[in-house]
Amino acid sequence: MVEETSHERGVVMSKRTYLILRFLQSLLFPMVIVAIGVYVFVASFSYQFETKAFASATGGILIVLSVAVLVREIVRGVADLGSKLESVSTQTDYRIPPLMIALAWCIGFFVVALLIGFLLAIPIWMFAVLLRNRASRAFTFVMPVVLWAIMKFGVEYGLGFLFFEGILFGDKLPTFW
Amino acid sequence: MSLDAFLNPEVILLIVAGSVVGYVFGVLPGLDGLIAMALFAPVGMYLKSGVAFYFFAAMLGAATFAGSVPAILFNIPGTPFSFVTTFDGFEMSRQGRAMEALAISAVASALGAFISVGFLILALPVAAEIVILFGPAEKFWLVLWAFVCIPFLSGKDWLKGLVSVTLGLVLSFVGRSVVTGEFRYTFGTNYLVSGLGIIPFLAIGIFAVRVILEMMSSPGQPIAVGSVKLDKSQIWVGTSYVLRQPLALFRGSFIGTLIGAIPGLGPVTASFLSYLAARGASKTPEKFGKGNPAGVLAPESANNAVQGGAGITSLILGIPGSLDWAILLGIMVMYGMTPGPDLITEYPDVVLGVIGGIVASNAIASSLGLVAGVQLARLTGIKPLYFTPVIFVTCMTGAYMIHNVIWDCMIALIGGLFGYFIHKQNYELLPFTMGFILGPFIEVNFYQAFQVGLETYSIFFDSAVSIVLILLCVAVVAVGPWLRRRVMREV
Repeated sequence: MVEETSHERGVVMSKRTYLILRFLQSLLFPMVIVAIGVYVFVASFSYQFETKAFASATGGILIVLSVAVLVREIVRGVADLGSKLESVSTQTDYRIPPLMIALAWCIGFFVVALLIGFLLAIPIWMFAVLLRNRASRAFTFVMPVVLWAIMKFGVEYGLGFLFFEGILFGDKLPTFW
Repeated sequence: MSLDAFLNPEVILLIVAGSVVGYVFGVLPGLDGLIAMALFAPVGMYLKSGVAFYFFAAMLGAATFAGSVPAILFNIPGTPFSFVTTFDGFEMSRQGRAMEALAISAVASALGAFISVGFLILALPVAAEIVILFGPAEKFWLVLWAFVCIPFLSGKDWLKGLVSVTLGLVLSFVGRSVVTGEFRYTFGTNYLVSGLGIIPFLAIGIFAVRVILEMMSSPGQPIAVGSVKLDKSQIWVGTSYVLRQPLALFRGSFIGTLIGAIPGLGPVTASFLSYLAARGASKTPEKFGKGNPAGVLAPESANNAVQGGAGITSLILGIPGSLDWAILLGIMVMYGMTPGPDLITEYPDVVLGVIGGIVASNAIASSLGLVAGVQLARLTGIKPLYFTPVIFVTCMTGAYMIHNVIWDCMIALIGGLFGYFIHKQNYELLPFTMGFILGPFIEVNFYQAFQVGLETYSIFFDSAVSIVLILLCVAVVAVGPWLRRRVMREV
């Protein structure tokens, strides 16, 4: 959906930098899993025996397994780096992953809903997404209104459900901490 | 269990609604019945449990068949389960026999589901006998067996599969301990006291938001949907073909049921194995892949029969046989039910709802496929741009609706990102889901066994059932990857 956007905004980098970044990126998630395992294992020691025993054992297993995956990825990645460098075409554009832009749109909705409430955020966000991605004009204008109507009349009136109205309009955030 | 429930207008309406939603999600590219269930789970919470599961099971039933329609007409499997159907189904379509292939698919799917549900109904009375064999130690080993089955039998990479199941387990520990009630891993927050949440984090985040992120970040081109001419007279040709092949139908349904009952294997494996079995049993195996009706009947009867098979392990033992059933069991947990052996005696209306929903939705989806299959299959050509924002907004609204807490939307987003990387880096979602849903179950049974055994571990090796389950675990680890490679080589 936002591929064109990513190409317009993408950053061009060298082939080697691109491959090294891709390699490091592939290690990021295994490292996050190792970190989760370490946290679960270490934090469990502050709990009483019945609470911690199963959790710390599972955390320990996760550390062992995820470290094994990480080591394997590093070995494979280093071995592949040279061959990939040869095979990647010099004509290729090396761009920042469009996931970031997709994620930004999603987080954007959450922030707008937090600020001005769901019922306003839904049509505004929908309109912005459709406009940015060059959907047909009729769809861009009609769909946000239709969706707003469904939420307002179907969900709010129909199910008697109250939407969050946004902190800018005085609604209070539920406690998180 | 009374069949009067089926005459309740609310139930009829929910089955039809669930079937239509499941069908549309099955046809739309990238979506499936699983995402439909995840999206509608919060709305379903407004329904009574006695009727809600007709709705959810109907989605599950309809989506499987729906994916086969674009597979036959345009060589585009609506769901991964329909991939094998393209081998002969699309060939038949190219030969001007599209309606015949659709009829075979519709009738075989519906009958396959009915036969597997028959197996499920036959298995239910046996459940009481099975249940008394399972104490806490046996339940612990049973779940552990399910945990090793998925990575070693169906996973591409068993090591990552094991990481995935363990990761799901540790994330299920967040919140109040199921053993002591003590808070764990909450970072001192109030929000995480009740855990990450099956619906916002797992169903909406990992399954629905993940797909949205994937679609938004790699949209691909809209699928070109060609025009197909249909000859309605071929409906009877296809229908009569299936009815004249009871053995083939039963073989496919049996394979589907059996594969469905083994956690993690699922409809894709079932349809491949059924196709191979049909080709092996045929006197003209060389005709497979060239528009052979038997090549449509075999996978279609098997992939729909998986639902009944997966239902056996899911409803009787509480071990989800597939991803769809994992989410269905997750929704049951949201309703305060404990999936497992006691479900049938404590919530017979829910079990009836699930069975009824699957049976009825298969009949409705198959009829819908015959009457308006081509028109509905054109939905395949809709650009994701037109439905991804709508689904995303529905996801966020659904996440919010569960507890009226906006932080649930944030957790759904985090779940989506997490699911994106699990999927993208081939850690696989089924083991993760299994670990997340069954985490509290395995932990409670571990402790109960430990206490029953007077705080010694010998109880885990005391009974014959435990020993059998341990041997099964060892067997799966030892021969699972080899078995899987061999089947894949055959295909």
